[in-house]
Amino acid sequence: MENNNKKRQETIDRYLMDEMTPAEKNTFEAQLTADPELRQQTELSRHIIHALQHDEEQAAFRAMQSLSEKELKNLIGASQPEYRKQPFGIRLAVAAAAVILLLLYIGTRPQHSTEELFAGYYTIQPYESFPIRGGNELTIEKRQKIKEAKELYEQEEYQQALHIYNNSLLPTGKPGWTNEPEELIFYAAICEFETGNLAGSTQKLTWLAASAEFDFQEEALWNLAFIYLKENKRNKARNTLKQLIAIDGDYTEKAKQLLDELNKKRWF
Amino acid sequence: MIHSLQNLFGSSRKNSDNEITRLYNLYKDSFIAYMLKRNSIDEETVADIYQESFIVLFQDIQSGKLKGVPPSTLKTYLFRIGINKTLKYFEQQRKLPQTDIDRINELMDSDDSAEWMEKQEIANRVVNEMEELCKKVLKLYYWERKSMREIAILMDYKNEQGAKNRKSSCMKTLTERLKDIFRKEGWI
Repeated sequence: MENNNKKRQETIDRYLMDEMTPAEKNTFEAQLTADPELRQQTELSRHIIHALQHDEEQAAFRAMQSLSEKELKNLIGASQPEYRKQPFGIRLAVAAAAVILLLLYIGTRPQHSTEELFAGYYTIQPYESFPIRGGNELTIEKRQKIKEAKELYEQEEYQQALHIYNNSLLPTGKPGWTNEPEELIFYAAICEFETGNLAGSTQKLTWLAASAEFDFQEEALWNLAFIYLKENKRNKARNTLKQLIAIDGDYTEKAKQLLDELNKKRWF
Repeated sequence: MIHSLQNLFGSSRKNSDNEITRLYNLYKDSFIAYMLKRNSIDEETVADIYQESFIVLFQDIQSGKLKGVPPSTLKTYLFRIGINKTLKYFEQQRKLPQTDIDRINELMDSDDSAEWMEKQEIANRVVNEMEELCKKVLKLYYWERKSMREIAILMDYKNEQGAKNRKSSCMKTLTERLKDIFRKEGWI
């Protein structure tokens, strides 16, 4: 009787531990249907095995709560699953494409940096006076101030020159500029450029560059191109130089040369 | 003192690692055996799917999605992840015959019904209260899947038969105890 019970339990164990062949399993399941006592013992055994499992799983669960994913992967020796890996041919093609893209990227990078071009081409605009439109209307005091600012500009004292432009010669904001000599706006812009106020300088030069009526249009465009180089804005510098080339004036050749250098690629 | 604390900490960490690797390896064998028996899939792929599933289980524990060991066991939860991944794998490979899907869906033998879970809670308590030697022999057999010969060596029994007798009497005691409770509850 005792031996029968042991044997019966062993069979139940094999069933619950998934150790039976399909044929054995079918036979056993047929017996389960026919024998309520066997069914009951199997059910109780299943609960006991689950409970033993539960105890161990609790411990593993707690252990996993205090582990990082990296530590877990090390622990179980995780690696990239083979079935997720691309076939060798595809991996080779991807690698080849990456190399080509890298070479293209390196090869098509500009030959010169904007900094190099700026250093190689930029020169400070010498002060050049034009007969001031309506100059006769200028007061003696204003003429004196323009002279002072010019002298300071020529001495490369841009900060002081700018101080005179801003405080004694130019109104604040574009609307007032219309009535002022362009010479003042242009050199004030250069002073701003030289003292690092690129935004202020861009505003004045853009205003001057907008009209062919202005004496300083070409100079404004030329200097604007350098502001853009300074700001590493290649496309804006390129477009400004193209505008200058289109004017076909004194700066055309220089602009063509600079544009050419700006467009050069490394090609390895 | 510091030294002994470090030892304690180190050893506790090692135990935790062992608990995880034991669970990982035990369920891995059973997952692979299960999948190979029922599906036309190679062992290496099943092992990979299992590894990925285990990482998902870990992520669910870490993120709090899984707040504790489910009554239907962690194994069931893990296998469900594995089954879904297997189905996805077949879908990607476009080689899953409908019969395979049916067979996979038959996988889990545990029951999620409220009564089954209630019974399981009681079984957990009864197993937890049993004497340590019984717990050990049963865990070695059912959890670690050791042979009776190995259990005899590990537990210092004279021979394999001694271990068998011990396991059998522990199982009988537990079954009787559980049967009594279930009877009182009117379940049997």
